[in-house]
Amino acid sequence: MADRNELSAVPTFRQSRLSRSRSDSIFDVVNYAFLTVIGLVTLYPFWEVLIISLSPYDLYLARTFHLITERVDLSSYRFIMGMPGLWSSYRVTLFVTALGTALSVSLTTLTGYVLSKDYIRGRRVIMFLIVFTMLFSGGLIPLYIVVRQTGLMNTVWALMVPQAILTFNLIIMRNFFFSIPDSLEESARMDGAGDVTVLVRIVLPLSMPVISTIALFYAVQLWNDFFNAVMYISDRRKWPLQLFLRAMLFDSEASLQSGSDDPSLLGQPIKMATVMAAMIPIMLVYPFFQRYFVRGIMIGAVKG
Amino acid sequence: MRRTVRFGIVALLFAGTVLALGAAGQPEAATGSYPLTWLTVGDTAARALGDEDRVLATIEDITGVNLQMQIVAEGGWDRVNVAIASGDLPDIVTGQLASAATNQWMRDGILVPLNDYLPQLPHIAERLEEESWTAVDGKFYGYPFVNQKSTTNAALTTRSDWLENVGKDVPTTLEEFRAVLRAFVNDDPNRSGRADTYGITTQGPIGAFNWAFYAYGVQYGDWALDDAGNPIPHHEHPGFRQGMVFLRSLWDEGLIDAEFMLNDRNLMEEKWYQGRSGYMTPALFRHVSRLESNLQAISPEAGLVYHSAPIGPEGHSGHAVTGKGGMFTAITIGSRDPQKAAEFLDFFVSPEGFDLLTLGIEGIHFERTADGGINYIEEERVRDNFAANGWAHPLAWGHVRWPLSENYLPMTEPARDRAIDSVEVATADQVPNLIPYVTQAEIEYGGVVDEIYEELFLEMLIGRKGVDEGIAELSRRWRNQGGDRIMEDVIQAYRELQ
Repeated sequence: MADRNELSAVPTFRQSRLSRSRSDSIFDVVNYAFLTVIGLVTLYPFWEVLIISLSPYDLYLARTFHLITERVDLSSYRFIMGMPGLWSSYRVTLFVTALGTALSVSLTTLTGYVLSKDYIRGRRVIMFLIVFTMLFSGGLIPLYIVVRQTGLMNTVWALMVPQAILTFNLIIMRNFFFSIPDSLEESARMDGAGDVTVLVRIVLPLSMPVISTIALFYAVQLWNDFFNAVMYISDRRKWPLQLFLRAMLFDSEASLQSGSDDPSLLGQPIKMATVMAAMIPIMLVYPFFQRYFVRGIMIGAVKG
Repeated sequence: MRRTVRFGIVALLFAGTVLALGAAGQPEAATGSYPLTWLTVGDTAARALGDEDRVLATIEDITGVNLQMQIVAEGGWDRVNVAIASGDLPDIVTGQLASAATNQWMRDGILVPLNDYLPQLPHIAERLEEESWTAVDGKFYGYPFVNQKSTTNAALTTRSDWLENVGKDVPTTLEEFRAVLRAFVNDDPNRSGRADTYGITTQGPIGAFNWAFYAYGVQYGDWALDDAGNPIPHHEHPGFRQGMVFLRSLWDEGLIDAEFMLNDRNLMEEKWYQGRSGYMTPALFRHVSRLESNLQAISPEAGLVYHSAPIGPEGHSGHAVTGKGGMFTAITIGSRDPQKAAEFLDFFVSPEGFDLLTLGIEGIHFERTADGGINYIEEERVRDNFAANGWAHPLAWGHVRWPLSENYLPMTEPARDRAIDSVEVATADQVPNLIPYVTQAEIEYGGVVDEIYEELFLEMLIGRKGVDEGIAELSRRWRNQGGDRIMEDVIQAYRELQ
């Protein structure tokens, strides 16, 4: 009986292995082909922006598709390097991204840590109130009034302070802190550590994955933000990079008639060079932090 | 040690907060003059206003104000509306003419009527006399600027080399125009040996085809009149049906770019440069030189040709519609001295103010030559943020006027005479409006009925619906979805104007 089972099992196993292998191969080919096509479709706009930015204007005008350029011309980049608005907006964006990220991460960490502690009275109520604001926003006008009343209008602080803590990030951070065993904190306290020492010496070193993730969330958001600048910044010298870029690309009746450095008079290669200038820094940073995105969210989610 | 660290962190946070809020405060200029704030979208392509701008200083000296401009980024009307809605009222605000928000400001009493100040405002009074329709119950709430009201820069534009290649002259009638479009499609105008051209491309949505309806007798830019002299929508006029049949025949012959609805301005112009379409409908004026030089970068022998709209069988023609939209600049109840603000605005719209903002200060920014010309002193103009090549100061455009409305082109503008000529040709084809303003019902229902129009127009054009069937459906749906309400307002306004 055992022999028969063994005999019958062998061909079955082989057939199964062969058929699975073939279907796996087909699936792999289809899968890779599909993902390659998706990848190329996703990549193409970036590639076209790059090629147009490197094309001389006459070549750009003569072509419909811009897969490759016969002559590389850096004059568009030279032109935008000479635009004073670009550098001032770069400065604003770098300042806002660096300081804003530091501010947001600090405040989110402190709040998340406090709200993760069972012995804090009323923490559930506080958390409910915070989550409530995520689900039911007060809207634009109350926010505008708050920014104005606090004297932040037309300052770069208006781009950082009003949204220094995003509730979604706070929830991730708080959930991560739940995963840190209380025994670590207790043992530190037995050694004489106070609240600040526990946070700085014990909790933060263990929380670097989630802090990196949250920092990247904030940095990308601050880098890409233009709406807050539209709402709160009226001094052109304080425009962030994305608002400068928006003005370069915005095509309106105003820009068709304007009497100044009219965006409609600038060629598409110059506009695309500006897009590259706005994209390159964040694209360079992104791959190094990308793995933290999934990991950080998963950590928070699983332990929640 | 623990206490020291704790104290250090608390002190750091406190200092950061104090510094942040301290930096946020806006220093008030202590000049003794009236601090006047002006919230506007302004000339979004302009250079930034500098701190030591001599033009600004001159304006402040003349008007006795300390001007604090709040210029919002391009398209940022939401910012203006939110500011007003939240009670952040400047002395002067520029909103959109004929918008729900601006009308709401008037109804809510946020704007100060100018009537009492008009004797001290000669330039504003002069304009309001021309635009008396802007009064609400006899009160003038602001200074209206109607974009493309008396001039336009839109004209049918083609290329000289294609006309030569197919042996055609500039068309004057609808049938000649059709013949040229046919030749552009069938006679290999780009000498490629392939059937790879369209007769005309344009930029969606649909207004660019209005020349066909005006050629068949639709009388006004906004509405038409029926045989009894009552206002009706364009699509209920017999000329609309004839124009639609004409356009449909062009489509059926493959003379219209099949993807015109996907075009933005760039794409439309590129199709023309690249020899994929013979005609397009661009903005001309200061763009004549740019369009032609781009065209010649690909086809050195080509030239830009603009011409009048084609004339229909009964001698009618027209192309661009007279504008109704624009800007509306008003004094708000937040102003501590409305008269001062109004007088400042009057200087801004005066010829003296206009010269100051476009030319600058004589002897510093420009000199007049013996023959009446202008010499720009560019190095001085750059110091005060004038744009290059004779273009204007950041405050010149976008507040109460645009260059086209003033026919303003610097002496240094390339192909200046042709640019001005293009406006004259285009303006000769500008179609007047029956009602000079947008009614409240249009503001309310305009978006919905325009979508219905666009949908049915396309279906008729591409043959998904017969012209008669399409017009019947368009009329029914258009009226049911708010058109009847719009027509009530229009008929009432028409009677009042008569």
